[in-house]
Amino acid sequence: MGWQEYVCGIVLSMATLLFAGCAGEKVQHVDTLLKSLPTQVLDWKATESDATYTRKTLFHYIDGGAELYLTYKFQKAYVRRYAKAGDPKSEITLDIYDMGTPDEAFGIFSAEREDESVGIGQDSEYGGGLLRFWKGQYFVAIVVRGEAEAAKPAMMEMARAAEAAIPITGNKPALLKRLPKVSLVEREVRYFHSVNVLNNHYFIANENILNLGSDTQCILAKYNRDDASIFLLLVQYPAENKAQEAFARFMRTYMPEASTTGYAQMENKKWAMAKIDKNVTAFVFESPSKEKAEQLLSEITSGDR
Amino acid sequence: MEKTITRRDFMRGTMALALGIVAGFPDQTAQKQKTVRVVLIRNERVWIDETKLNPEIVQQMLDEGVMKLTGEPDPVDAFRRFVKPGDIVGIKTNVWQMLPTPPELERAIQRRVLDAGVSKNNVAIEDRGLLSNELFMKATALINVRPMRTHYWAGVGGCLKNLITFTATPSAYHEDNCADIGAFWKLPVIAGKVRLNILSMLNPLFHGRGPHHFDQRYVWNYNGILVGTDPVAVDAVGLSIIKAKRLQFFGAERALQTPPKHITMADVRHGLGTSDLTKIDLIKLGWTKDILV
Repeated sequence: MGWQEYVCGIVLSMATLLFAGCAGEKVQHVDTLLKSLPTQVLDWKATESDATYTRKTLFHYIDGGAELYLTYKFQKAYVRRYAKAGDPKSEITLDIYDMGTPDEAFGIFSAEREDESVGIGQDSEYGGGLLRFWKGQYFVAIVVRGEAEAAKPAMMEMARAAEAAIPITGNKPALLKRLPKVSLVEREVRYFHSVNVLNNHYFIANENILNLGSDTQCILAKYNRDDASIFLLLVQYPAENKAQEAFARFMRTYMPEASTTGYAQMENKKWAMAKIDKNVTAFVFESPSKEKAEQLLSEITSGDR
Repeated sequence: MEKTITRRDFMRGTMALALGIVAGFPDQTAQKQKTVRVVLIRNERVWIDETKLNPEIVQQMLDEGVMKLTGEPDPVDAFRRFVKPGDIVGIKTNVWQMLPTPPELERAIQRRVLDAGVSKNNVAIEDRGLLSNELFMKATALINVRPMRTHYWAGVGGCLKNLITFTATPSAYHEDNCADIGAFWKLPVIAGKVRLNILSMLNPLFHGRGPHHFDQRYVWNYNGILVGTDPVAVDAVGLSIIKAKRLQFFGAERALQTPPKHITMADVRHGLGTSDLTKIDLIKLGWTKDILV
């Protein structure tokens, strides 16, 4: 495919997507998306048939890693591989994940974010031969096997092509609006549903004592205040009684001495504090003082702004 | 019923007592008698460059490892302790494209299996296609080899996890973060057949990201191989090296994406081996720089 065909493909794909959007249809399962991407980028050529994977088959593609995607509302993955002439050991893999909603695409991006943005999509990062970004309901990951720096220009170009093929942006989860903004470490805001993602970033317990699941929305955020790293965890449950049950279980298991006050000093001398507001529970961990924990909790907004 | 283990148990230092035995967190009350042997062999010159291994040195490392493991003065005699001329031998490798078992290591194993007298027609190297590999299905002896790496859902992927392709439904073992991986070691096609476990620590992955759980910054040339007959012990030692590397690299304790509980569970629940580092007789050979264990 030449560049003219490639541009035409992108335009057609965009038109299809825009039409679908105007018609009020949900923009997902767009199988033409991958077809609109270039089959050659710089020295790299697409090597084999493109592949797609669903919730049922993703395991065959990313054995062991699929579970993370299944904890989100992952719908379908599109995969294309690129090889470099004369370099059989190198390969670039371009994955596009339809996550169902922008919330979920942001979530999967945030779950493993570590690096600086490279200005692609609604947010992005590059490091160690791995380029990740999200836009709308799509999460895109481009990874190289082989020399990373040599492949980076091609990876960036592939990312821009994928970004262009996804014309519609989306909003981040509404729960994020509740987060206090002062001293928030933006790169360390995680949105998720699963206790595994929580424990990956801040281990609470080997059991799911917060009753997290697909119907809970969770945010773990890090704040750097006065040389201390403080964690704030927000969990939104589908109903108030669910929040109350989980809150009671957490307090009973994690800090029973705080059942009446809501706060306790931990064995490492840091403070933890918890509160519940309707169907949302909030927890502060690793605060250097009770007052700072109270301050952070007090800055949580109603989310209406 | 097992006690819920919280972050506060770690703070109190009571987590090991809560679980009984925890890989990587030796139970201080455990008896110190060493009951199982694992050999770590390292060589500074095994990597010719960043991507190419020296096959002769790989062979030499394997030979030294099995000789020390068995006490035999000759590598072929050492291998004869694991396979007999009449055996049908499956070498269970790992073909994960980002970090496969090095072919140099596969060939070194195959060579010694043949040297031990096994017919060429009775040796196969396989990973994902082994359920349709007739030789593997009638194998009388298995040699288990793969690289050590962090793994999103199991914490780490080592020798224990490597045999999961013997099941047609690997996802059936993903419950509770692969805690019961040890269960499939009791399948008839595996039970009693694994003679040797070899964990490549030549270039392990100590932290992963992205859908493929791979980030080149977190692969390092450790230049080592672990060998042992106890897959739990081999994995427990490998895990301790991964943890030490993470501590060294990140500058602080950083939890794996998933606690690798399957190693402990393979010991305490499934009785497959020893996960308690205080009970493992770790013999270290060769290069000692940044050995981490």
